[in-house]
Amino acid sequence: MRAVAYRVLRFAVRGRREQGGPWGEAVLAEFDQTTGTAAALRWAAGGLRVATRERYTRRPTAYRLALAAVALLVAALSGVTVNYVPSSSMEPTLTVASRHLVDKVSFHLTGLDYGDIVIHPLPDHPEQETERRVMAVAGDRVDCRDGRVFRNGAAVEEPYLPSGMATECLSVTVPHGALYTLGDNRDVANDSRFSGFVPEDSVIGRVVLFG
Amino acid sequence: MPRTPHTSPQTLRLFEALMKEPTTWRYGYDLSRETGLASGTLYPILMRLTEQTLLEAGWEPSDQPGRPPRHTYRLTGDGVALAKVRLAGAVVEKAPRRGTAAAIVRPA
Repeated sequence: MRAVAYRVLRFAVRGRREQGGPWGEAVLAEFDQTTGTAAALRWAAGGLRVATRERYTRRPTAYRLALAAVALLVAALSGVTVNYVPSSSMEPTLTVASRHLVDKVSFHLTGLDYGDIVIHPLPDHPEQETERRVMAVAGDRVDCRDGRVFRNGAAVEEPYLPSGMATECLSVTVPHGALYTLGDNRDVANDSRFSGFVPEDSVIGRVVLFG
Repeated sequence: MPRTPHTSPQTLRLFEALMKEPTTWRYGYDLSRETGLASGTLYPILMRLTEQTLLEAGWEPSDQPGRPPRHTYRLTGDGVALAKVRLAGAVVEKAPRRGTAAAIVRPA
């Protein structure tokens, strides 16, 4: 037990180096003086405190920066992710095989807006995640005339569509807790016109950056 | 009001131990036993005092061969002066407090 305590303390003081800081070494050198296991453990435990304190005060900025970097990395990995688009249903906005940044957190707080590009599983193929544009939310009435989409009777401005792209759809009202989403490539996208409404709580994230 | 430095009970205990023989070099472990302070309490105080040049530290080769050198400590001139002031201040502060406590316990 004494030997283990000594080794732990030595590792805390020196790490992989030959020689630790002077204060850590000082505590380490006094370890032999302790009599009995309890005293040795107490001495080693205090020594750990000395070793961390010595290391920390020597380079406080470096330690804080390293801690901040780790925290940032954890936050970034849990909240933001890079998504890969294997489909052409959002062309030309998102091209086939493009990558974009998805924010999985903030839309829970801010809510979704018309025109946001979201990631959600296809209602008729839940295993397939896809990206679609939010066209209408619960309570909205959607219909199409002359190739254009109308929401609650008003034509939706869609500057992201290439000229000549026409949309055909049936007249629907979005039920409570659901979204009506369309792919930008109206000719090929399997979206709410065919696969139905998207449950709001199935949305995984919102695309924040693409290119 | 900011706290007066070097007035904690632990620091005072260390001052007391060091002031017994202010010119002698002392070992960390002996100081720890004499003051009853754990190494994790004692050494940070030693570090602080050394940083402020109130304490000087040196390395002394061990008497047993093959053992690492030991760190030794003693108060500097400034340290001795400060220790005297702090220990005297602690005595003055303690005395009236004890008086009031006794007065409450033992009503006249």
